[in-house]
Amino acid sequence: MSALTLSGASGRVTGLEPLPHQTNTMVVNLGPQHPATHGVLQIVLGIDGERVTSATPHIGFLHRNHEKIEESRSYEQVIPYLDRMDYVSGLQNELAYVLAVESLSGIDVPDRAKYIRTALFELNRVISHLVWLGTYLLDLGAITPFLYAFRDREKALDIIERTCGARMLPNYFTFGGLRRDIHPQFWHDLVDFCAYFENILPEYEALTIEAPVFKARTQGVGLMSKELAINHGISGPNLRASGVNHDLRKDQPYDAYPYLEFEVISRDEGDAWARSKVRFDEFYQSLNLIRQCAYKAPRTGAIKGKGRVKIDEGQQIYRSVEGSRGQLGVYLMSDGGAGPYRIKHRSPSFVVLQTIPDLFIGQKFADVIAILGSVDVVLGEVDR
Amino acid sequence: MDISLTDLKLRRPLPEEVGGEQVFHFEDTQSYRSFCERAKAAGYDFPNCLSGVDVGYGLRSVLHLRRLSDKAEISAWLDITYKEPHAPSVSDLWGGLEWHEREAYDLVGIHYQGHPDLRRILLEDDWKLHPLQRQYDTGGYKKEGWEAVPWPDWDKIAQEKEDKRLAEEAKKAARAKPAAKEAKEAAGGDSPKPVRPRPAAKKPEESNDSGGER
Repeated sequence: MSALTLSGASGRVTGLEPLPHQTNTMVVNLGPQHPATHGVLQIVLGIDGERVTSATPHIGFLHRNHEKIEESRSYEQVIPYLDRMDYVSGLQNELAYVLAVESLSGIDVPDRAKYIRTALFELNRVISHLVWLGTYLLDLGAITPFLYAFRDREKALDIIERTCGARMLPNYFTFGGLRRDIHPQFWHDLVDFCAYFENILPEYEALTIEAPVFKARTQGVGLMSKELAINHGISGPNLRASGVNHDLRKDQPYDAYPYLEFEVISRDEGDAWARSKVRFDEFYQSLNLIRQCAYKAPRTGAIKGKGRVKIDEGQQIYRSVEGSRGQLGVYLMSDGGAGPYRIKHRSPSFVVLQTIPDLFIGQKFADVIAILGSVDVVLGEVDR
Repeated sequence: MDISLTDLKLRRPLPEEVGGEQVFHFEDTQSYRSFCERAKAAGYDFPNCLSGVDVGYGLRSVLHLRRLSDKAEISAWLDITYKEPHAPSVSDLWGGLEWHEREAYDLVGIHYQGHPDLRRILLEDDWKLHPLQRQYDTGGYKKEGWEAVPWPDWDKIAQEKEDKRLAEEAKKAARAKPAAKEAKEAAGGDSPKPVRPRPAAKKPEESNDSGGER
């Protein structure tokens, strides 16, 4: 059991009975310079034959201490930092924070801005899931889907670039609405993209998650029980794939979600394939929501509500939104100054990574990458 | 309220309402721990978040919980002192708080007692002090200690903006006036337009000569 001493006091190996043909335990370093860890994540694995006996994740390689920086900024100046946390879906991070400040200082958002925000939020979910699709398939050994996914992602990023001015770090949402008005072609672009992408999606589905090889590698792998998922605070597609019907867009609707019609997608299997399937179904759901926004949004009107940020001393709030990876939360505390006293970001990837020992131990070594890719982590928001 | 508070020591007798949230504020670690156990028994199964805060007179562990069955949310605070920053760990009740507690230990310096693996998580193992505490020296950046950024004087800013706009308008009007006068004179009067003398063109011979001399 040399793996135990090397990997720190994880304490989780004890429940595992030894195999009859036990060999020497080998320690394998997965990362931090490994392409399948999607960033700089190190997992120290103890391996007995083909079986994983211990797993200790080490994070913090990308730590910048956003929370400390944000304490010395004003409320408005915090927003650009949020783009850099989860750099795959920057607008979603912005919305969680912006909603928290809005509800504390009582700023109203005009309907038009709500619809635009929601459409961009869903477009960001498509972008994020496309990154997941490409990189996950790449991890499993398929190179072509990565090229397809990033080609389509670029089309979606073009819309964001034309509207916000930047592809990945848009800095677009602000208190009470949007920083500047949308491009005149915005809704047309979105509807065009939806038509294009919805046309091509069944093909992707047949080539990737419905393919027999993909199913053989993911079905029954990385099982996450409902109880474990809830107790560990797992959220988003990972939770919904374990049979929990929990979606903040329905449970705590924000922005334009109360006006839109959609069903929460959930599955009962709880394995890597179910998580992939939920994400794939969310592609269709997001396109549907974008289209609803495009048809329902007012064509004219203000993009920013009146009202200034003014938060009294001692006010605090925990506000969360349903990001593409799960519950993106912001805990905000004010001391009456022009900047936040304390911000804590609750990032879903951070929460998911701590279940890695539970998911890995007892599995085959070859499945490790298939499980890690299926929970979809972005290290930028893990390390913050 | 489905959690009995009769034998618990709250900071105030009733839960406080802060920012639209119901908050149970504790100073007694025993009461906090038994409150958490009761919350778990009352069905608060989903750990939203756990944050450590340096509140100026001590440290605070802020816990946010959710009940998935009816979407109810509660929040529990535990105030502790700088000298004895010990809080009971609740990661045995909600496994998802294990890393949150490690983070609060790492960045804020709250020691969670009973935690299975309390190590630094984001910073290196040999890091000194806890960066999210107020007295943490950030290397020259705001060395004198943290002070709240003052609010801008919105009325003054609006007044300045208005003054600037008025001044610019006056300037524009002043600039437009003489131009209009001149135009009027030019149109009405019969004085000939001043003809600007053309600059004398360079003589080609000169350049030729100089070229020849060279």
